[in-house]
Amino acid sequence: MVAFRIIKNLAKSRLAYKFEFFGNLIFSILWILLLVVIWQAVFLFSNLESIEGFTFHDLIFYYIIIQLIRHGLDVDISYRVEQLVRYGNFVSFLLKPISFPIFCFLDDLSEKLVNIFLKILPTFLVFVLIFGLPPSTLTSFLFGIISVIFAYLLMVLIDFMLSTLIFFTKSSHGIFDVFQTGLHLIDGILFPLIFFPEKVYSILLYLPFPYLTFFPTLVFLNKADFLNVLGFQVVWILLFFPLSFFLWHLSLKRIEGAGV
Amino acid sequence: MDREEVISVKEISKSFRTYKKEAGLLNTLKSIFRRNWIRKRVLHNISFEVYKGEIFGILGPNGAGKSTLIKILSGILYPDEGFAKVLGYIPWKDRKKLSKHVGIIFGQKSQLFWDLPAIDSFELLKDIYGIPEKEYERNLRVMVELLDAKEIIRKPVRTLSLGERMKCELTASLLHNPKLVFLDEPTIGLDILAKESIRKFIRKIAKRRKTTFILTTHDMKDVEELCERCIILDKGLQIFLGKVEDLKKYFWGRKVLTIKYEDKINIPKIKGLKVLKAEKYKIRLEVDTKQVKIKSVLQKIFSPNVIDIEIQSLDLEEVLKRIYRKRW
Amino acid sequence: MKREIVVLWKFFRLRLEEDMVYRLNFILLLSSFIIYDLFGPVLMVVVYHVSEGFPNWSFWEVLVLQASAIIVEELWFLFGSRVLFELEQNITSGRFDIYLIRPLSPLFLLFSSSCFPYGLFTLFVGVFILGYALPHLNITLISFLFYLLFLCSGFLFLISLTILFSSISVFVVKNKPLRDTIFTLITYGKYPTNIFPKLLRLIFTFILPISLIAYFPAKVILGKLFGFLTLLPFLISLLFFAFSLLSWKVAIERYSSAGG
Repeated sequence: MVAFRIIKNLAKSRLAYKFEFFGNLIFSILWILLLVVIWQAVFLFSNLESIEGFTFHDLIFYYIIIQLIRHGLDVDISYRVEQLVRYGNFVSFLLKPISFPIFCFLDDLSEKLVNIFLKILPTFLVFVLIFGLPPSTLTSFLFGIISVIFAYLLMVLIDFMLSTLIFFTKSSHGIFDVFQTGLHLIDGILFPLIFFPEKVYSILLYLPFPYLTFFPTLVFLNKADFLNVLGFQVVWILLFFPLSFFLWHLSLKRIEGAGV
Repeated sequence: MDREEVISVKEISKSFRTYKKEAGLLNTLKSIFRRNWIRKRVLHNISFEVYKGEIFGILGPNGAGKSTLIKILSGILYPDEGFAKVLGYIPWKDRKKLSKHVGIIFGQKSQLFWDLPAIDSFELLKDIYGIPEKEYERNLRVMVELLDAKEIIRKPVRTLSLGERMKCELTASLLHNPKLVFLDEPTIGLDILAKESIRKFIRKIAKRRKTTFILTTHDMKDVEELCERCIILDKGLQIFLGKVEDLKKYFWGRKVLTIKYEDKINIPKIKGLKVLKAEKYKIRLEVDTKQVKIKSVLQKIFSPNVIDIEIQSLDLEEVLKRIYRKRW
Repeated sequence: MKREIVVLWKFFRLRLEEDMVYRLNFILLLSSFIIYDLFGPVLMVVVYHVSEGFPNWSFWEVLVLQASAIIVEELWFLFGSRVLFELEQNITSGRFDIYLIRPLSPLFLLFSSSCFPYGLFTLFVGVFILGYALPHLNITLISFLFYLLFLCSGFLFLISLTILFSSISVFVVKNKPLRDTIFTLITYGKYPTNIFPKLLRLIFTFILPISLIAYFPAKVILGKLFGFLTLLPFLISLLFFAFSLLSWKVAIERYSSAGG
């Protein structure tokens, strides 16, 4: 019950930022249009029907969906933790009757829920109006949504583990900047990961990152086996869950010892 | 001795065009199409002079137009009507030329780099103002000594207390030896000791270098300790211009009696005795000692019911409060 | 003039010192900027890996294009990228007035105080890629010299754009859409103008000349730009610059009348 109340209150304060969404929509569209122009020229010049199983049409929707997922998934836990640590409210949290990690998670969840209705759905509608409906079946659509939910959980864990690093380094946001930016190189937002040279691609498959945005997008487009993807996501989640607990435990020890 | 006029202001008026914003979604949408523009008068017919080497106060409640007046005098803003000359320049016309001879401190807004020691910011200002090396060194040495800031200027600004930071801000604004300095709320938020050392510093500089200071402040002690003359603004209108002493004298001889009693008290109707505030068992009276002596008042009031008596003179704060509220 | 150069140098040195106060953060942030610079080149590597690429552009030529864009962008990063943000901060806090009461031009002070030393280091990413690609192509000394000149005109264009947007900013204050617009324009400028539809090509060459950023410099060094056309981009960038200065003058005039 407490959880619901927290979510409701935090969601209310997020609604104040609803006008921010409009600006971002335009720039998302502009970015996709640029990619359309680039790939159109490429397909035309080389006279290709498809690249690695992607037609030009597929590719456009690939970019649209992966954009939506990436923006929807943008987990801010690390930022919140940094704010709290920097401005010192963190200690008061430790004294409240709710676990800090759980609070962060609920806080983020509330933002995501609001985002879905205020940002993702309208953006999706606009894209459909401009580009038409994506080539997915009802089943692939539903499977895609489940994939995204698991991807979100995975992302939360990764972000949380990074956050614990705040307690070990003095100035924190540099780590996230490098991580976020580096992630963009390999999360599929620039191009389908399968376009990478074979060797690179095969290495990436051993990492959790393709399962955050790339594979869920493929599930939506009916280009990947849902259960396969889910399997990998679950494995990574099971791996990271105890790891994040452990890191959190270490951080608490550090705080209690050294003070924040 | 004829004092040199440094600032001359004649009938300055300024209004801003602003629009009335009303709450609610419907009104916000309406405002996209049509705005309710109204003219807000911020200054009206302000006239005064400031002389070389004096510390001149600009006082008034919030929204009185003090900052607007300072902005006009420094050239950042230009007036709708009227005329002003500062150090021989028309401020909004020759802003760049004027700025060479003017220093300014904007209260809370810092001019210094946050993460670096103040001395680095000073060096930068030296280059911005083109101060010759020897003059810069000399100025810096003198001021650091007067403010006892030798250690402070080498520490990162973010580690300084408010008082220490203000010392650095003052130094920064005086490095280029300006003839005129605008101080916008310089002592706000400082503790008593810091305030006093800053006041002492300002007085010294004004005396030694004949630097003219324009001071806006809410702190009455600042006014009492520093200003000889002042102007009082309220809602853009000039209410008072003259010596601070005269201001006090106007209310000189008035005392406030605060009497605590039980049961009942008898307040006689005497000329020069006025009831300020009457509560259940406490009453505040104002006595104009020019008309009636405190002794007589006390004799008439005193009874076994009186528990406590407090006598205070009208300080400048009280004086200004009345002027603001127009209860002379 | 001498005073301005000294002040600019001082600002640069002080900002660099400020940034370096947190050593680790400096390195991490710098790394994230470098990774960001690699997005375009990596995309190009992948595009040329899966196809023939763009019409009239070989792989090495496209790398030169990317490198030029990076160099110009990072120069702007050094001298203009923070201007709009700092301006917004200064106006909302009231500190902008301080710029107006100094004996130097407020525009100059605004730019100098907003310099962003990271740009000096990330510049080398572009230089590096350029050095990597050039040996594979036939370059003459003359074309290289003209190339440098054209890079400057691209840089001048970005600065002019920044000044123009600053003028608008003086009234609008919250300028994130303007910042995002410049960012988007730069992103568009990283790709050969000839892949865009005709109308956009005209706009990007004559009206909003983002082709000055990378397309024209690259064409020059590759020996593909001749005659009268060589001078035209120059004139455009100078005109644009003059126009932007005028807009700033108007903006300050209005600010002095309307108050902060």
